[in-house]
Amino acid sequence: MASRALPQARARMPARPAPGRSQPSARAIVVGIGHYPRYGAGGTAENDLKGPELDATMMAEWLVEQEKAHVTLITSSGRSGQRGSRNKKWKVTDMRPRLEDVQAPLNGFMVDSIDAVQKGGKSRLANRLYVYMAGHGYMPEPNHLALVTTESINPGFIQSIQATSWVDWFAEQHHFDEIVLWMDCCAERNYLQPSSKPLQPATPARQGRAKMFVAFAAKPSLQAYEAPIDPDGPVRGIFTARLLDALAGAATDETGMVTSTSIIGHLSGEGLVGEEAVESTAGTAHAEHYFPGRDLIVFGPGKLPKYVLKVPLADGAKVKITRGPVLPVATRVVAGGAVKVGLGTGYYKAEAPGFSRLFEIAAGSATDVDLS
Amino acid sequence: MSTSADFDGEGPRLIVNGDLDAELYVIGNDLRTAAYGVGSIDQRLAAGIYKLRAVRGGASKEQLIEVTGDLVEIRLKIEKFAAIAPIAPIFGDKVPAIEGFAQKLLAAARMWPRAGKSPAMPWSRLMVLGHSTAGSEADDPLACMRIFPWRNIASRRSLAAGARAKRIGDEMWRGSAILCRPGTYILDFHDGIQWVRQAVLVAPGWDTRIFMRRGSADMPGAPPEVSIQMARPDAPVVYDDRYQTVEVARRALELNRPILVKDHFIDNLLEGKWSNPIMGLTGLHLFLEAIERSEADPSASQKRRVDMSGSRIQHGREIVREVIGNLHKLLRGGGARHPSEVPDSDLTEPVPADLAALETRAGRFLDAPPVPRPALDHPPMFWASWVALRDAPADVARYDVQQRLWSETAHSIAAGPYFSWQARRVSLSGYVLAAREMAAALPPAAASGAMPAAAPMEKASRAADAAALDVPLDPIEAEGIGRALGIPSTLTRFI
Repeated sequence: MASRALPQARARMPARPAPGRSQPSARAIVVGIGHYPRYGAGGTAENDLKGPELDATMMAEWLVEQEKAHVTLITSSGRSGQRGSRNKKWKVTDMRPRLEDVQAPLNGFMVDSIDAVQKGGKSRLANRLYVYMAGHGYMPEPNHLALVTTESINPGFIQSIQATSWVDWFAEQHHFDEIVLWMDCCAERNYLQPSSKPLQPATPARQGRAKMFVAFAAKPSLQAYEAPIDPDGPVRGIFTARLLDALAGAATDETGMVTSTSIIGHLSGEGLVGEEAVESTAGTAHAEHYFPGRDLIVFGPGKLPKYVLKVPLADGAKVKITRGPVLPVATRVVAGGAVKVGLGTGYYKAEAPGFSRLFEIAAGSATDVDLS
Repeated sequence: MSTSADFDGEGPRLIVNGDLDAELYVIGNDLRTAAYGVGSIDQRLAAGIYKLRAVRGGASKEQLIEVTGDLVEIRLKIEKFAAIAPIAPIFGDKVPAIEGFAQKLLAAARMWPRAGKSPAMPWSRLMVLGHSTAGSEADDPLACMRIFPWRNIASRRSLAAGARAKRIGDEMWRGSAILCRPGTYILDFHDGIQWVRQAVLVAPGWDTRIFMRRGSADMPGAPPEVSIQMARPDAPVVYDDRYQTVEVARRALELNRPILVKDHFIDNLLEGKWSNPIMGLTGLHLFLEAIERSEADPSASQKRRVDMSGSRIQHGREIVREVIGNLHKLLRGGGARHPSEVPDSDLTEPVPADLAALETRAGRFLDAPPVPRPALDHPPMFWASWVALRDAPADVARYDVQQRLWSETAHSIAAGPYFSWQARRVSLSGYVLAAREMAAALPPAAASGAMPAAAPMEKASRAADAAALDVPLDPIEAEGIGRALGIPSTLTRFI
């Protein structure tokens, strides 16, 4: 079994701030586990996933470049960006990352905070905490999701971290004001054994919980999917690919911002066209994603992706696109049976003399939207 | 720009009519919910384009609409959803065949277990009816399943052995029925790795009807989906459309979502207990959920939806007390008789764990907890019930969850709406120790002592180092550990 080469994204990651310098606006733990050498049948076969390492690396790149976050990246190939330890590469036979590898940076936040207080600083580490995890997973109880770690041996020895419990614990602490948890894992309920949870005592209560945006690839009892997003492209988690598209601008709302609300709207949308009622496609590869935490968190301005709207109109006709009676978006001239326009997530109306069509732009929309 | 967020209330009127037990959402172009209702919506909105979404029993339907003029009226119904219990509108022309097959099973019910039977004992019927779209032997809906009375595994019975089978449409139906002593029974399923268990209540005077479905060929070994219902012995097995709500409620509890709490929906469930006490149990959980939500901090950042009238919430105390009282009579000896005809002397059965859980959850509406608290030593059916028992603070708990019960069910999850656990006994101290060891992972460098020279931690004070290394090992109050690990508060004194 070959290990996927890990792109050198970590080299560009900002170093931890030196004492006395300003904090990064965000801390992040990004985990992508693709190799499970003994998680297959009988504990002797592998049960690998193709997407998590690349997904995690792309997520780390986004966090570094767009969020200027300090990122600890942990994948089946290695670890980087973690306090108190050098970057490290792993071989498949090492069966890492193990539970303690994934848990260590979470415990490390507490250590960092204690250090800061000891030095007369504040326990707060950054405005925002990002936790991203991709790999095999399961749902131990409603609204809680656990990531299975590499050393697990099927069926008798399943090690996992219940990331939801960890972020819940941090939400009650002073380390962060906003917490984002994204998990591209299955949400089946087929293991009945404990998962790692924080057992640290709570610090004095903060004034309300930290704001939480929590998104899972799959609803309870459902599987998450991975597939080539482009015909000749690498396999990726569908949820992560959609999420990164959303963050890049596909989920831009009517105010021009990408927010947790607009991401939920984007990822939940099937790309409806027309005014007919449509049954959901739940249970298919475009599995319904799940959002247990929906507080409003702003990610910043988005860059609108371009869509080609195919219309049954002659070339030269003018098509007016609106988001309702008082919100014009654009007017385009038809060329080649289509118009091209940048659109964010939302509900639109395309109008021309003798033609009117409602349509939705969301994760389920193709680049070419057929309005005929 | 006019959005739902700054709407002044003078726009067009939108009326949406859906199924009475369907959730309806109107989502505005700001991607927020502009209107919400259960069964119907009648609201004025800013003119604009919206998306309607109806959700029912796990199925959903969406539609884009443009709200203009004075009035827009939309009908959005969901006829099909993933029902496990046979519901007439969903199974269509197969209903007579399903009903006929099920009635034959019930008529052929035999006493079980035979040991210790007595003509004076009350006997109730327990029927298991499974269906599957797959055709192989391994996809038999009853395969690898057995049932036995709580803590009496010696008298276990395979569900597949002696079951009858009938192909109806494209599904294979298999089932069997037994006459058994009322009490808590355990449904036991082997998924190829482990035995997984859940509780089933059999009450005097009622049929317990367990419906199962297995059909996901891409998930071999996955347990079948289960729906546990009760019925009067003379009631048909296939539910008519009035009782579709039982499946919608099961899904509502499964998703643990704050939904389905409109007056008529709760009324339907609470009234339905006369023909199916499971409706009373699920309805009361959802009603209490609605009350808890209505009382939640209104400034909470994540607003929780309630679509129930204020008067209903204000009368919560009377409703809860009446329903709990009636459920005692229905489930502990009164059968389908009206509660007024059931003297307390007829309540000979122990309090079902789900009812104990509802009493705990509704404790503030009831009289002071009994002293000493009665012991609870059998598991509930519903996950929501287990959570209520597990999470009740010690000064609120009305029952003492026994250590042995927890030890036998510690490795538990929510399987659909049900409380399910791995067949394995653990000790409280061993469980806590294992969890602490699991949580004690430090950064690898710190744990191994191979700390890089420049590591910031080395520069920290000795106290900070000690604190760092001790973070997961600090003495933690037992209650905190119990809460984190799902150990009932009544047991934390043993940690």
